[in-house]
Amino acid sequence: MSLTGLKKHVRVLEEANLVTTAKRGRSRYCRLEPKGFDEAGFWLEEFRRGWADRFDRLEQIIERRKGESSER
Amino acid sequence: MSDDTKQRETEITTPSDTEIRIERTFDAPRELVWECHADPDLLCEWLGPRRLTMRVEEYDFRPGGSYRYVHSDDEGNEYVFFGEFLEVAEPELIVQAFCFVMEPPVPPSIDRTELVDLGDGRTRLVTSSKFESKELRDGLIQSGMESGVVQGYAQLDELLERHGA
Repeated sequence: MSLTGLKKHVRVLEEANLVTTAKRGRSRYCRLEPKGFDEAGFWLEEFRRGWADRFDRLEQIIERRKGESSER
Repeated sequence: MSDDTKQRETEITTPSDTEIRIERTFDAPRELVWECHADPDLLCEWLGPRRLTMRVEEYDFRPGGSYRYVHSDDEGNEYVFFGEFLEVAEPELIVQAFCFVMEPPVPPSIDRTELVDLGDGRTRLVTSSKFESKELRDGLIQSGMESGVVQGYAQLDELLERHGA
């Protein structure tokens, strides 16, 4: 990967608050930001739970209807 | 993990910056899973977030048909969703342009629901939503509109506790 390419990647991670960088002398140090990861993971997990909850109810309806059709 | 638990697992992925995909396997033939999407009375029983009442105002389940439904809570807050069915191919595919009432209005997402016959009496339900931008996708995920925030803050509290907040 070229240095320019690498810089681009780091910038994207920085904008997403997943890393922070600091320049020391001629070098730029990158640091992972666990808080950023948590935030993205948190909302996605909440979203997943919402759907898991719906699908649990869908499953209940399906089970009920399976019972009904076997009685016929 | 037992097979049973695995089967019930709801998986979420983000295949690209503008998509969300949710998958789950049901121990039922495809026709039965389809019925729960096609019949608005059945849909009302599962699609709304917990603690909200769902009311269908229109549900014209065919290509080009429109729909409109409302989730409401005890305090009279209402969340209105509407859209158009782009494809309805029984028993395997539903594609819809999905919108919610919002000020200012936001462009619809394209939601694809695929019912995959696993050949052993089970059905894999694969739903994916495609948004016009990453911001819209992330906005929906974070709005709480679809998730536990609207379902009740109790759940959110539990989660925060587990995350040590």
